[in-house]
Amino acid sequence: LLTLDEVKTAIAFDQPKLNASANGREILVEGSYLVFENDVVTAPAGPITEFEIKMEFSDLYPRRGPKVFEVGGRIPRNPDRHINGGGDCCVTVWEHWLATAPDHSLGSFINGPLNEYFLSQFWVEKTGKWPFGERPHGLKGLEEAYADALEIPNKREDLLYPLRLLSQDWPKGHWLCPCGSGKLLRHCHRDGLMALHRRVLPSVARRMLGRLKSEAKPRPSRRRGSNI
Amino acid sequence: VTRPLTNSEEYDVDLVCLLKASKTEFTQKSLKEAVGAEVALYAEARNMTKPLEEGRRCWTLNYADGAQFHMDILPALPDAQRYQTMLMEKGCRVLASDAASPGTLSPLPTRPCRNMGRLRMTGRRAIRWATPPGSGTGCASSSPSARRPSASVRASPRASTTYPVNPAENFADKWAEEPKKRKNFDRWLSQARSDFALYLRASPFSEMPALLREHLGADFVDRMLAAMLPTVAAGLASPAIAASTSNSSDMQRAERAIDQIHRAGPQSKPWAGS
Repeated sequence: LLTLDEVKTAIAFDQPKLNASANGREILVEGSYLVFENDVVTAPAGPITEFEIKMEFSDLYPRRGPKVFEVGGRIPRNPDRHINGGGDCCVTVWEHWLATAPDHSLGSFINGPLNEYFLSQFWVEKTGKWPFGERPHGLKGLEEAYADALEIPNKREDLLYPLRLLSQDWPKGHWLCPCGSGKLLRHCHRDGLMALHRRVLPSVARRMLGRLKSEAKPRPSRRRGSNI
Repeated sequence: VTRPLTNSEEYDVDLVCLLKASKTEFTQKSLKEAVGAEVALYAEARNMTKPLEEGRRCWTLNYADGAQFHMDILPALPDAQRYQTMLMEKGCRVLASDAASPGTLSPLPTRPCRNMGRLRMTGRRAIRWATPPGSGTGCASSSPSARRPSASVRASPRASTTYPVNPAENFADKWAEEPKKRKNFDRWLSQARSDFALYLRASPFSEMPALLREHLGADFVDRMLAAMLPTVAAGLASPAIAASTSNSSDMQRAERAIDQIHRAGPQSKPWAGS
């Protein structure tokens, strides 16, 4: 379980203007988030820019992603800026990051997706362009992210079956191979699938399936909740 | 001497008791006992009521309550030449000159960044920087750098903090028995990292962050700045860079950061759920 001490250690040098405190099983991190170039240890001119933020971490991190809020009002509350009315930042599709990043430590998140998000916000503010691209809103964006993570074509019908296979603790060799050859998995892409299974853990695949189902359900009104 | 910041604190006098002897004449234990016996006799002769306290490597002489004064006496043998050579090899000329004359602290140098180690040592006087009681980072050496255990703390099963002068010595040797010491040290280290990152990362080098000044002790920082060369002091007191220059440089830096991420491969793209 993630502890307050671990959070404090992770932010102490990298993000000295953030403060962490415990609130039950939740850890709150608040203050100014500083944006830097990669691997900068000392910054003679200071940070490139900074944003006032609040983050909520569950002690179940990284299984449960953090919620990130921009609280300074610098980013216009516009879905096209990937932020919701309450300042809830749509940093990334969490399962995509879990499936593709080798390191899921807090420091890796803070210096990876979070830095990319706020660097992007700075760049959009100045130029109107997303430097690393953006995903479509809603279900389409989820499908795109999961297809990227599984390195398969972005088609819903191509996505669900491999995810069901990966959701198993041990994919069955007598199931059909997801490549569409009609062969049994054990006679086709078994090794490739098992390598993917080591990278995309069953819990992550199950969560992907769950979110695809929940995003596909029609909703009475447009709601924007936590997107991590 | 570390002066107290508030009336409730004590003067902390660190005395290195340098014996004119060699390592062949004393073991570490006998050296400490010999000095301890002398200090006990001194306390008795002066009718000092507070008992002499034995630390792991030093003796603490507590003066009467009203005096707000205690003295840590550190037994040592002359070994300055060795430290000086080691520090010179590492390029720490200023520290090497201190090693040759232990117990002295020269004025804060004029280049604050490169000499952060010195600021960190002298910064012990700050409230936030008070060495946590029982963190086990005391020392026995005539080298000024000895008070600064390395930040590299290796993980279990046996924790160790490396000590550049004598790699065989482990400041963390008691942590297994007393885990609180490790916790205290980690807390201290985390605060130190955060405080100095305020200067090293969160603000231009030409500015002294208000929070760092507060944590190190405003009077102390002001005295040190006043002792620096006027040009440097003026630079620290004035706004760093003109706004227009800063903006264009921020864009260039952002562009460079984006290029770096593209080369390494971005880890994420923003997305909004429905």
